[in-house]
Amino acid sequence: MVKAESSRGGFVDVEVIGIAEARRFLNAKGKDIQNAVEGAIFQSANFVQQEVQESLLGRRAEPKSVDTGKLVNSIRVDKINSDTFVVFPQKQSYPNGQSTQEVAKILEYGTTKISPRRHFRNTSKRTKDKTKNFVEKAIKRATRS
Amino acid sequence: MVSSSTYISDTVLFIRDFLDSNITDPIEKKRGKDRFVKTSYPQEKVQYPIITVRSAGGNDLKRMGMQSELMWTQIPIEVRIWARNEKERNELTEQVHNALRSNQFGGGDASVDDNDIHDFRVLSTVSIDETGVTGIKSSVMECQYMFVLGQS
Repeated sequence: MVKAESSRGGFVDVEVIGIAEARRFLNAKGKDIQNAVEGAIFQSANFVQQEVQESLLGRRAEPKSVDTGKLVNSIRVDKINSDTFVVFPQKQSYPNGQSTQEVAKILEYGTTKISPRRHFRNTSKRTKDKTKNFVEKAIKRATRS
Repeated sequence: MVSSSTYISDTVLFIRDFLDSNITDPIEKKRGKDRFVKTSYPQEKVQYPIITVRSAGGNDLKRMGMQSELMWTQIPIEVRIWARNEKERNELTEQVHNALRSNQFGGGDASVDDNDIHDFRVLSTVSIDETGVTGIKSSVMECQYMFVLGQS
C-alpha cells in the first residue's frame, strides 16, 4: 500500500495487488523462460544460416555465388554464449590459397572487379522480423504452460 | 539541410561534400578533373586512392506517436576507402573516422546536427585486400544517422 499526498491536500491511497504472486510466478517460470529464449535464439541462428546458404545458391534476391560449393557448405552456426550465436563461413582453403572467409568478404563487399553481393547483410535484414517472432512465441509458450 | 523528400540523397551528398573538403587527397596535384570523393563505385578507370559514399539501403520507418505523421528512420551510409597500399588505407580510414566523429555538434552548416541528421554510429569497418602486388586495399565503413521524416 502506497500513501501519497495529492495536490488538493487530501490523500491518495494506491494499492498494487498481485506483486507477491507476480514475483512467485517469475521465480517459478524464470528458468523455463530462459531455456525457451535460448532455444529460440538457436532456432533463429539455424534459420539465418539456411537463409545465407539459400542466398549464396541464388534463391534469394542476390546473384548466385557458387563455383566449387566450398563457401556455401562452409556456413556454420557457433554458440558464443547463451544468447549469442554467430553465423559465419568456417575457414577452409581453396587450391589458390585463398580462404572461404576471404572469399566471403570479397563477395559481400565487392572489389574493383566485382560488384558487392551482400549475402550476409541482406539476409540479416530479411530475417529480422522472423527471428523476433521465434523469440516472442517461445516466451509466450513458456509463460502459458 | 537534409529534406524529408530527398533525405537519402541529401545525406549522401552532404557526407560526400564534407569529406571532400576535410580529407587530404594524397594525389591532389595529379588528380585533375577526376573527383577524390565519389557517390558511386567507379565504372571507368580512376586514379587511386578514392573514397566512395553510398547509401547502404534498408531503411525502416518507425512511428513517432499516435496521430502523428512524423516518422523516424536510420540512414545507413557506406563510406569506402580505396587505396594503393595498406598504409594509405589506414591513414585515410583514420582521417574519415575522425572527420565524421568531430562534426556531430554545433559546427554551423558543416555539422550534422545543423543538417537535422543525428545519432552518428559506426556499425563496422571491414578491410578488403585484393590479391597481387598492385591489388587495391580497401576499407568498408558502415555508419548510420537518424533522421525524423516530416519535420523539414
